[in-house]
Order: sequence, then structure tokens, then C-alpha cells
Amino acid sequence: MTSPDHDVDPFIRALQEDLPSGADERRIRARLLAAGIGVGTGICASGAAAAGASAVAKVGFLPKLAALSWGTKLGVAGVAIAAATAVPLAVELTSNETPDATRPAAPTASDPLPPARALPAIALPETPAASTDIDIDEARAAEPEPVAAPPPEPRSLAPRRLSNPRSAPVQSGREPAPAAPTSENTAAAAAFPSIDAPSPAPPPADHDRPPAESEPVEVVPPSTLGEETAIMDRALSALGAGQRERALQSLAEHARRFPNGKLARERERALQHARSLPAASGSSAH
Amino acid sequence: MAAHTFENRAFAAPAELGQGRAPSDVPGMAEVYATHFKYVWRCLRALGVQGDLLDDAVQDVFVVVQRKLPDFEGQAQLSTWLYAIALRVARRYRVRMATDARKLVPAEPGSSSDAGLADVEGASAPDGEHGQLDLARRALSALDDDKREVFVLAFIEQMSAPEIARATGLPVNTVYSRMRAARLAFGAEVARLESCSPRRSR
Repeated sequence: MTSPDHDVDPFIRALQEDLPSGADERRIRARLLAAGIGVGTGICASGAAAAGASAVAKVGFLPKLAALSWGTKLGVAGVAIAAATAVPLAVELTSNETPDATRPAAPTASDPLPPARALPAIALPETPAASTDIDIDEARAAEPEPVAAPPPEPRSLAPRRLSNPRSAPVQSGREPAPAAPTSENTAAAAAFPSIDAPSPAPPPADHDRPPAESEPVEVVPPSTLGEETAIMDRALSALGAGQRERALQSLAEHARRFPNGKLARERERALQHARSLPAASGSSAH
Repeated sequence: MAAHTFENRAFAAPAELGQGRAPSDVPGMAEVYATHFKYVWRCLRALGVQGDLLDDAVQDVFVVVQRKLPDFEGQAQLSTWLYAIALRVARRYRVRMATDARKLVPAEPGSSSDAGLADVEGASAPDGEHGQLDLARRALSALDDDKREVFVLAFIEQMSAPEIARATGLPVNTVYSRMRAARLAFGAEVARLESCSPRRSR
């Protein structure tokens, strides 16, 4: 009945032309953006734009400073000059009792300026995210990873010193990431990562190191994202297995413990899914 | 808290995006998405991810891409790397769909999960303006998973056999033989479906 030489090319072409519509693309783009995935804002981000963004990210501090507007430059210069003159004065005031031989002389034009580490860091409030909705998988994936660079725009009047030690490598010119060393002899299989295992990025070793005396200690409230993710993970696993009651229990636990949690949106969505499951399937799945 | 992290990682410097590649060769996340979204979507759909799950699967792929892009070493083409991820995501979703289908619709004796999926996929619009596409989808869904993956990658996504071998982990010879067998099976299924649909022009 069937011929092995049946011409399948028209059908293959039909499958090749089965591409997403504009509505599909807009819908998925919105989802990805809501999940915190940087897919850009345009339908088709130009390579130049992406390269520009990358270039801004990879250059050091001085090129970024050079890219500022003149008003900002003048402000930065003013603060830098004020700080450079205030620090020697402060040193002089605090070392009045020291002998003259050990007291540093007044700075001259040829003397190097005191190190900038004596300057107090200007703590800035965290920028409110455009969207804090995080997909569960993304949250699971992102949780163990090091925090990436802050936005490159200069929001402080002095060179901002990062109080978060995990951000330090980024400030130093985005050199090789410490958490993901890759070797040359990685097998081809490693080039196709497992979708199940998130990157086992170890926690930064700086966590154990007590902060230096001169470093400002920023009190960061403990994140609940890990617990939220664990609970939602259980709920989704139960959903995937069709275990409605277990899923509802986990979702109720999440709602009780984190009523306004970061995964509240995902919880509502999972809740709708769980409610759409037939009640009998939960007992049969057990 | 975490959103700015994602945004910045999305535009990470090329130097971080690939070891052993020239910085200009490795695109950022936005560029990867812009240039490959449609094909990832098509690949997942052709691999059997349907309905609302398709959006979830596309999101999963790009979540993985964002997470793994810094580790991309350029040992394979970026498209091959993406299809490898899509392939694994699609497998997971096929399992989930098959599980759901078995629970929601009691399987009749003798029917396989593939046949069930074929019914689901072809149930929407067996005829009409897109009849050829519908028929092609139904024929595709009748293939077993091994043949279907190779068929999609080879004939729809136009990947070469060595690339498919890299993406799937199969030996190249196996890929060639599956390509041949998948095309034959697809053609046979198309012919069968056409013979069952007298209204079709072909």
C-alpha cells in the first residue's frame, strides 16, 4: 500500500515552515522576560546592539568613566578631589601626637595620593528589579550561581566599592569567572549540558572569610528563595506525577509560609494546574 | 534582587561566554534568542511538545541556555548545542505528556503511547487549509522517538549527520541508518494517511 519512495518533500517543507507566529513570539518573550531571562526587548536584537552591550560589560572602569556625560564627570571629579584633600587632613588630625619623623608630610604634587581604600564606600540601595518574577527552574538554576555584575552605569559619586564579595571579580574587568573554570580537554559531551543538573557552582570561599576591618559590612537578609524553590519543586514534581493532593499540600505550605514570596506567581499557576487535575488521579497515583 | 543578576548575565562579556573562541564569535543571550528562537520553537514542536507545554518547553530551553552559555566552549556549532538542549527538554516533556495522556485518557488495549500522541496532535484539524501540515505532523508523531528525533534534526532542521551524532550522542553510522529508516517510515505514514483521507488532493 505504501511506497518507500513516497515523495515526502512537500510535507517536510510544510514542517519547516511551521514557525511561531508573531503572537507566539511576543507571548514567549514576555514570559522569558518575566522569568528574568535577558532575551532583549526587540523582536530581533541587532548584533551590534548585543556587541555594544557586551563591550560595555567587559571594559574596565576607566572606559566606563570616559563614557559618562560631562556633568557626571565634573561631579565625579569634584568628589574625588574633595575626598583626596579630606583624607590627608584626616590623617594629619589623627596623628598629631606622632613624632614628626613618622608623620606623613603634606602631599605635594609629586607625592602619590593616599590609597582610595581609606575612603568610605557609598552604599547605594539596591535597584528595584523591573520584574522579580522568577521561574521556578530559573530560580533553581540561578540560586547557587554567583551574583553577576551590577549595572555598569555609575550611580555613585565615587568609584563604587562592592561590599558583596561575590561581585568582586566582575569589578576587575570581568576576568575568568572563578566559579566555572573550564578546561581545554572537556569532552564533547560536556558541550551539551544536562538540562537537569544546574551548574554546581560552589559558594564563594569569601563567605567564610571574616570581613576586613575597613570593609563595610552590609547586612543582607537571608534569602528564602531556596526554601521556596524546594517547596515548589515538590509541588511541581507531584503535579508532574499527577498527584493532586500532594501538589495541593505543597502549594498550601508555600502559601502559608511565603504568602508574598518570590514564587507566588508560579504558585498560583501551579495551583490552577493542580485544581484542573481530576481529584481521583491523586489517589490512583499513590 | 536576582533580576539584575539575570539581566547582566544575559549581556555577559564575550570573554566569559566561551573558552577558546574569539570574543566576537560568541553571541550574547539576546542575540542567541533573536537568531534561534524560531528554530528552537519549531524543533520542540516537531519533537512532539504540544499546546501550552510548548511555551514551557521553550522557556526551559532558554533557561538552560542562559545558565550554560558561559560554559559554552565552542566545540560545536551554537545551533547544534541549542538543538542538543532542545532535544533533552523535548524528551522530558514527551514523557510528561505521555504520562498525562495515560492518566487522562485510558489507553485502549494494543494502543501505544505514540498512537495516543498522534491522535492528540492530529485531533485539532485533520483537514482544511493546513491539511498538508496537519498530515505531516500526524505522520511525524507516528514515528518512534528515536526515528523522530533524527528525522526532525536531519530533515527539518537540516543538520548534518555528524552534528546530529554530536547532539544525540549516537554513532554517525547509526544516525545515517536512522535517517534512512525515519524517512522511509515517514513516507509510509504519509501515504497511509493520504489513503485514509480521500478528500486530500495529493
